Amino acid sequence: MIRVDGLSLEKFLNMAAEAGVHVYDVRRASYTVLHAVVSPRDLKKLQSVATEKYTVTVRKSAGLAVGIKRLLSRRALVIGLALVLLAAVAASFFVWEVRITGIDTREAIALKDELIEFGIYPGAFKGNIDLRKTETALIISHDEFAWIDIKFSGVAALVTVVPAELPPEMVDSSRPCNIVAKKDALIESVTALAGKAVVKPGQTVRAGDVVISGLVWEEGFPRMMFAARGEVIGRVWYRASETAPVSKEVRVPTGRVQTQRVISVGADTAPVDPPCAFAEYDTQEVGRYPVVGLFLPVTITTLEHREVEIKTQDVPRDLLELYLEERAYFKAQGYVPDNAKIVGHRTVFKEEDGMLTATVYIETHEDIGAAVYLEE
Amino acid sequence: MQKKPRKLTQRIAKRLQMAPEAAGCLRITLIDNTHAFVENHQGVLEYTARRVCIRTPQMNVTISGQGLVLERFGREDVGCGATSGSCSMK
Repeated sequence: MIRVDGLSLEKFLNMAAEAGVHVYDVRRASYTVLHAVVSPRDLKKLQSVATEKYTVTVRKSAGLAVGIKRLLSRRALVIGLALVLLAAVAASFFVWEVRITGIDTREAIALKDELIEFGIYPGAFKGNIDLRKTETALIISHDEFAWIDIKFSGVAALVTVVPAELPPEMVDSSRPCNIVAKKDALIESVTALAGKAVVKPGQTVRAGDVVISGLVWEEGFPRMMFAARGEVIGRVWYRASETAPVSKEVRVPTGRVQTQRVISVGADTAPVDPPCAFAEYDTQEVGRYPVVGLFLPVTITTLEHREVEIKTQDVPRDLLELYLEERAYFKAQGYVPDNAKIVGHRTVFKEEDGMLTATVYIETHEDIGAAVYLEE
Repeated sequence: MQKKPRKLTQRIAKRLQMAPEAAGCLRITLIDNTHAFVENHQGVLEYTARRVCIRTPQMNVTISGQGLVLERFGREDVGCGATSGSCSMK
């Protein structure tokens, strides 16, 4: 920004325009004074064309060129900025975070440990990592993963995993086998397609009991062995419990209030007023004021202590039962396999030592049969 | 009514279907009543915070207002704006 002093300043503007100088933001301060903005290059031109009638003085320098000039004069700052930039560029050559998506947390932790063997870990140099080789090796070694993609995004290694849908276990029909119960159940129905059903509906079985036999050996007949096949639907129960106290402590305000001021210097605090005299109280911050100035971390905080009385209050029974039943139901549902059909549930409540326990039994119908090959 | 004689350059520009301002004709652009942009001027005759008088080949353009600022002043164009109030022109 320049200031021009002189008479007939219109003439000065015309002279500047004739010399090819672009003048911006021209303001007439008075009859003999004018303020304007020119570029540094035009300023030299202007000073050369201005006759002795006019005085051109620079009032303020601003702009990119001036900023760069000022910056270059502060060498330590420039060196510091260059070092920071260099450090940022150097840091970008390393992996600082490994982010895995597509699988649950437990599997992700296991995969992270495995990735360390391939050199992918926080702090690893990117240049030493062969992404394609790692992807191929992981896909080959993990049947449960259909696809793995590893790529770098800035300083993070992003690992995207697509879990595979594993095919159902195939039963070799040429090998004799039995169908056994996978878990304890009450038999609902048995459909033997090959072999002999050895259990009836209504009968209970333990895990491992034969339900359809592949070995048929009756008196007077030759011993026959074949691959048993069929469907065994059993009634299986899953149980889960949740517990909560039947009463809770509530803090009832008495109405008595005491204020206390505390001085804070950074993270350290010291009381200004005497401490609170109440046995039980709730504290609330009602004001915070800087002591010295805005830039120093010294503040005075006003605290309000409200006296409370602790009382025991019964939780509404129906609400508590509903809450516990719902929680226990969802917990039990987590144990139910995907192929099982939920047919009902039952809840049992039990109160003991001030604690109420809800136990939910979920009843399911599911195929409990599993093939076990017969040994000769 | 007798037709006003036109300059040779203007007549050539018209014949060649050129833009008039390319032939040095005055061009004034107004934005609301706060900004005026005058092209092909021949200098400023008067400049105060209330009045700007600009010489052009055809006429003198006078902009009146309050807090007038020459936002841009070059060899061929002048940009004038009112920092407070509005401006009018004749």
